[in-house]
Amino acid sequence: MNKTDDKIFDIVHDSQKVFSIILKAFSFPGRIFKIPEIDFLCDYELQKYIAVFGLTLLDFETTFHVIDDSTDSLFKKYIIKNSQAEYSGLSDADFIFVINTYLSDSINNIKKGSLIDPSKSAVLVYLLENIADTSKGSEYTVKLSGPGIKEKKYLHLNNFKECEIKKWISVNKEFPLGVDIVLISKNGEIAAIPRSIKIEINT
Amino acid sequence: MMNKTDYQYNFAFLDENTKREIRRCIIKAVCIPGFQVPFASRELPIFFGWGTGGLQITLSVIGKETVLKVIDQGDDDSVNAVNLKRLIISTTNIKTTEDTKEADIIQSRHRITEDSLTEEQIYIFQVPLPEPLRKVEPKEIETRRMHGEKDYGKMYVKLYEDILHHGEITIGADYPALVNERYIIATSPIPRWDVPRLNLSENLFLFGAGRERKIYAVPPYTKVEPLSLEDYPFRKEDFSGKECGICGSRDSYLNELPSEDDNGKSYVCSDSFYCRTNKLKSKDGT
Repeated sequence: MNKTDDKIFDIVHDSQKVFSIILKAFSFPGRIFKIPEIDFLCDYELQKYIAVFGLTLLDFETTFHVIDDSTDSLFKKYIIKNSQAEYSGLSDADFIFVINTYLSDSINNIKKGSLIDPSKSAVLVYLLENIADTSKGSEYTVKLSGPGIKEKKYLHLNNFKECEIKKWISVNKEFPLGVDIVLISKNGEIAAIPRSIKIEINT
Repeated sequence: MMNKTDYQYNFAFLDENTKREIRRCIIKAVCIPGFQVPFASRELPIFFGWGTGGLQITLSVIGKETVLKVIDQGDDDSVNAVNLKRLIISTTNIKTTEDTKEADIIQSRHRITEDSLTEEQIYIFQVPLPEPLRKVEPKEIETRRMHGEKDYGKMYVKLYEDILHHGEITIGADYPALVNERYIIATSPIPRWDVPRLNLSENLFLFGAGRERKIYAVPPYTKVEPLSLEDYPFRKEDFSGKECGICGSRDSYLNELPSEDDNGKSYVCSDSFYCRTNKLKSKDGT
């Protein structure tokens, strides 16, 4: 069967549905939302949800970079093919996808914006095993406070290196300069941590 | 005859690349509360200055299931609101409402509805002049620097000069406010009455200035403080002793109208839906 006969990602209505969830995630940092189930044929079946995020926000006006644990990144090929976004180096990328790995010290090289225009900065998108707002099985808790959070919010990131979170704190210490972080789980959960949020680690 | 759904434009008029650019800007605006994010601002079948900023945000955010409310100075039926609604309906066929509680998205020119808003709602303002520092600094490059360095001394000098000349701060609508202790924003222009509603609100506020090509945001539960001096605190419009001539409300923002009796002045609620429902409630005795 020809692929064009199969269900495709509807860039009008599907992307609107996904965007409304992304916007909610950024509006209420640390709160976990579910990316809508979209029935479409995805070449990148490995991780449909992160692909959907890319298709919703990326186009030829944006640049992106992928940090993947594989040498031949399927995700990179998928995004180039389906969004026409330009693949760039880490320091120039508007969106940085971190799939099953960590940025570590490379985080110091990414775009943080300038005081005149802090919006010219990167969005970090992590693909994780899971995100939870209960402490079951997590070694530490990420405590969040700031705009979008009524009092305080706790996130639990199982099997996620604590030192990576320390890097987030470090890169966002000079607000309004910094990066905005999106966490997407393999089950389609999404949570965001804008740079305006104060992050603390409780062990 | 053409069916309502056989519209000849893309859903919500804007092309998808435009929507994506605006969506990316909205996200940046939410991440940096109060910062004016530049955007391309496309041509629309209405003039710049007639609500194109708010309209472009609305068109980028709405979906098939969205219920929309559009108001102009609190009124659902004024010319600007009706025409914007007509354009949105003709290119989306979505449901509109006048009921504040029923709406998912409220687009507004110069008012916040009297009824309280929830986390599920998005409130979108049409902004004519997004730069609050323009009154004290004409150069854009300089205002950007001032925002960047949080150099807001001139704004406080303006407040002080106002007090010196007039005995109080004379700014009416568009009262400047400090968002998240970082950026000063132009508050739409909504009246002073509405400014405290921005503070720690449950819903997201988005501000769009089409002519000036800027988008900014106040996320939910964000601190918004109207500028003031210690000995001259911010105060709202005073309607004490006055009531709406239609519904009798004493706790809503009132418009002053000329009248033959009552010293030539009468008052009505600015929020037309609130006034109607309030009148019905008092009729029912509930």
